Amino acid sequence: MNHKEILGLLPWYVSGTLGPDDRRAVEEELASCHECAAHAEELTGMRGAIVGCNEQFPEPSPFLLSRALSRVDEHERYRATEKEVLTGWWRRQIPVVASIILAVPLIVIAAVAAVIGARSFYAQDVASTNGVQPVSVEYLNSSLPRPAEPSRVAQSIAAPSGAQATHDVIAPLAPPSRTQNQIARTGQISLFVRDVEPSVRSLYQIARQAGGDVVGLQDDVPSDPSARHTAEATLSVPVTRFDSTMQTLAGLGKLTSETVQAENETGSIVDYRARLENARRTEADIRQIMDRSGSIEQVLAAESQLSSARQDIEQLSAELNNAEHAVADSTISVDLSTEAAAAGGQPSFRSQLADAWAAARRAVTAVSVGLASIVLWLLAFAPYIVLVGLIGGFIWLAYRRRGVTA
Amino acid sequence: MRADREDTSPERETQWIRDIAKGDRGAFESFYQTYQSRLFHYLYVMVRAVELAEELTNDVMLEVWKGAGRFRGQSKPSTWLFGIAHHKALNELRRRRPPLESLQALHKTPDPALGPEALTVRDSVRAGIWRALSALSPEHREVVELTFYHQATYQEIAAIVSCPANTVKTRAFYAKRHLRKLLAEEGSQMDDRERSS
Repeated sequence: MNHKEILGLLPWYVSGTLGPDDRRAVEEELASCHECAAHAEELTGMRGAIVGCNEQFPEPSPFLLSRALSRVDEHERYRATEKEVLTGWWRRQIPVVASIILAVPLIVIAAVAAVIGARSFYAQDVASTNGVQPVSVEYLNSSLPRPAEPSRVAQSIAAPSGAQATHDVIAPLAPPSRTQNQIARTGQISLFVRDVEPSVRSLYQIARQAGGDVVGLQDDVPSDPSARHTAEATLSVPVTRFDSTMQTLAGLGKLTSETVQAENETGSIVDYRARLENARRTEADIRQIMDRSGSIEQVLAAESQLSSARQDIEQLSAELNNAEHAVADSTISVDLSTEAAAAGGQPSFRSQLADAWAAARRAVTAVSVGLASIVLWLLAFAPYIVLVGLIGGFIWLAYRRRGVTA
Repeated sequence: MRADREDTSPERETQWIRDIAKGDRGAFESFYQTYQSRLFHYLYVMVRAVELAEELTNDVMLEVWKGAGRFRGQSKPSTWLFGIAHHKALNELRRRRPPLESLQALHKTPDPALGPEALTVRDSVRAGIWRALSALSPEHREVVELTFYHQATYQEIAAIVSCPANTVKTRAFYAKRHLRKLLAEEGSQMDDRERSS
């Protein structure tokens, strides 16, 4: 033990409270070190002064014990009362219950924020990462009555290619009324299919079952097997089978877009008929004039007028025929395409790694968005959280103060 | 640490605490009477006000009554008791700093063996020591009081104030140095007063 350590022990040496080893070490040092001996002497004087001072301190009140016992009695009475209200177990649960009361709103807020954040992100993520635009049904002619609300119709067909068998397709509730209006409807539908060729065969089958036919087909078979196989077909079906055909076609594969266009041909047909009737009357009148007139010049002039009237009649007849045909039969354009991933067969090791990396990044982004949402929600709810915390704190303090007072 | 009553031992005090935990008022009274005076002295040195020291004494004893079941016997009962008192006193000092009581509070019944002049000198010296002691920080004052008056070992003091033993030794060293300086100032002031009178 060195000199400094001995100096540190001197107060307890002069008080006589050192252990045997420490005391022996101090005594050895004191025998040889005058400085330590002087310190010890000084401390002895100090100790005597302090003990003397303490002995002159006032004594506590003689009633202090009785006051203490009164407080003990008061405490016991309080505890007995408290036991009646709350048993021991429940009393111990008060901090737990208080913590739960404080924690539950925070957890609920955090959970709601996380769910909302994750859902909003997921909705964007699915749309962007699948490369598939949300299915939309467009009614291009705004003058026509639209379905009140789209309904989801589940349509199952046996796809020969083994493509997705069941699809949910957004379809109009019911075709607009055509008892008075003459409406020509056209549709366009784009699909991802696993294999184009069997799907094309299905197109023929669907068109014929509907009482129509495939009136146009362009099948682009790629020379490179890894490239996409696409085909465009045009179907003509009776207008009464238009909606059911659209639904059946949507079941052939993964629907990427669907467009329905309708033109009100009522006015055109009425106009064509009126103009045709007028042209025919004009033709009849010219014929009568030709029958009555005798001069060559008059006959030639009448024939010229008659020729012009016949041209009008033929033209109007053709247009009327077209309009009536458009109203009677609908045209549906179908775009078929294979998905890029499916076309390549088994995904390569590199593409799997890339997919995993992309999925991990999306997950990190989703978690980050969720956490940021939680922070924002907590910030927004900060006044309420502080209020709840303050109330909880006051309750806790009041509870503790009651315990101390008791 | 010494107790007020010589007929007690740590084992007996430990038994009292066990009995207190069972609600034995007799054991509580015995324990109280054993430590009442020393506990009050310690608290008086810490807060330097009689009524406050009495209130804190009973606060500490009520804690003993309420917390006796938590005493595991790993330390001496006196160490446990003064540990409670240490925290109570420091909490009180943190809440409010009580004023230093007048010197009259130190005066006990005059010793008939001493003449009036000797009494005046003695009181004057003790008042000077009290002022010097009071001028120390609570931590230094506490170590000095526990070491010299309560005869606590440095290990016991370390347990009471919840700090390492070396910290206790360091505090005692600086407390002594500070006290020597304060007492020297008190001595020179007393000399000045004597010369002026």
